[in-house]
Amino acid sequence: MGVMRMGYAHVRVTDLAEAKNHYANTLGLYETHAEGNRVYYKGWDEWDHHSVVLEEGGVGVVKFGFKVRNPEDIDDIEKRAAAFGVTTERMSAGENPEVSDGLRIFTPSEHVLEVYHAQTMVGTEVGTHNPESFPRHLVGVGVPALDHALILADDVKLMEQMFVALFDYFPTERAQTSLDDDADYIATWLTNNNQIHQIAVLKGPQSKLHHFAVRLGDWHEVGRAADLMTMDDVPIDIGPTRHGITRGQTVYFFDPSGNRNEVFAGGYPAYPDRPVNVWTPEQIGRGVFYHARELNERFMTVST
Amino acid sequence: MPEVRIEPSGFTAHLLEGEPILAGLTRCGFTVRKIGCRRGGCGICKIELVAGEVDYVKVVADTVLTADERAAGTALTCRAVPLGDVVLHIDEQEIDAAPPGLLRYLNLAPAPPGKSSGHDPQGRPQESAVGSAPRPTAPPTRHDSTKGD
Repeated sequence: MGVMRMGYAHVRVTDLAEAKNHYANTLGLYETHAEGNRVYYKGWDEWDHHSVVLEEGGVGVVKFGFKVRNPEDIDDIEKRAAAFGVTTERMSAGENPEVSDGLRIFTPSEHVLEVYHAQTMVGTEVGTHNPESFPRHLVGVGVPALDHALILADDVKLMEQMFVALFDYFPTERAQTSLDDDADYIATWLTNNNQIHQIAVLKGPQSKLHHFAVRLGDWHEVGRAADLMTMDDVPIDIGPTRHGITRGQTVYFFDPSGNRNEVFAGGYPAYPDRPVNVWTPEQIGRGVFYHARELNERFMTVST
Repeated sequence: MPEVRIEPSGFTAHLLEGEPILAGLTRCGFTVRKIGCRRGGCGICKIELVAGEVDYVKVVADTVLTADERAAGTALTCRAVPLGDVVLHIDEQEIDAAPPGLLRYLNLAPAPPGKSSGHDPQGRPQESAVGSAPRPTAPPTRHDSTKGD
């Protein structure tokens, strides 16, 4: 069955105390572990040990984790990576706390992806026995789960080909220089299940993070999240608004180190046989910010 | 309270003690084009210091502002706190000022000795504080300076 989801985002922060305040008190993630200069978090509706890792020192992304269903999937992806021509190495259980052995992939975009088959199960905050629909005492935004990430790469088409070849991902939407078959890709949105995107790739400097997103339920929760950002003096990049691409509802904002975060709700269900939505440059503003209909300069230039 | 002067427009902003440059310019009614994450992560707001010194109270990543850039007088303005008065260069097309009437309410100078703070007891700004000069007869443009206001 292969990759099930993006399981964790591990990012750098300049000041761990400020970052903890943002991720725990504003976003409401649950701290599950801390060691050295790292802190581990999960959302209330996640059952695995962690989905967000903060590491003090610098800014930007360290790596992403992708969880597969079975240990044999690791071998399969290793063979696919060799055939595709990307560098990998095996990783041992415990290199990441509470994470199984797996495969580390060094992408053409100079990002690190870790594929693993198990993480210590700690359970959701509502449990599995006659559960309530949400925890009564959520903090701040009360984020349920990690959702997706957007990374920057010099060669977007190559990255799409890599995710297709290694993870059985398929594109749901693309931004292209034209509708021609030989068009260059400006950005691509990828998944392998009904979630509208698990990872997206935008043309830009290698190894950089554009944003990682946490999941919310609907417009109302997105609006409430924006209210809380004002209360906590979190700089908002744009929103609340809708993406034409994915149709998701969104606020982009920045953590205390300048890493871009997103709260993301909705998005139509993805299917591998659904034709890919394609956006062309003259309409890309509407694709990214459906209401403002123009890209702000920050969207294309700010990354960590 | 530090004074930030912008060349070549001549705009002057009166910052609060400990206030980063970019936050101060925004609070004082100036629109700076190059604003990114506002939290020291992206480096978009880097500006050349013409004169004066700045300090960084919060940790700034070496990858965002290199040691060479610091030595050369580049300021990461969302994090840089002036140590006294500073002069910056921002091209005129990269910065706008609020209309003079509004600017007078936002960009309050420290009170000269023996004068009021610019607020009456009800908190209303007084004409005499910053901006007793007559309003320009021509419509305000973005090249209007606060000098002489």
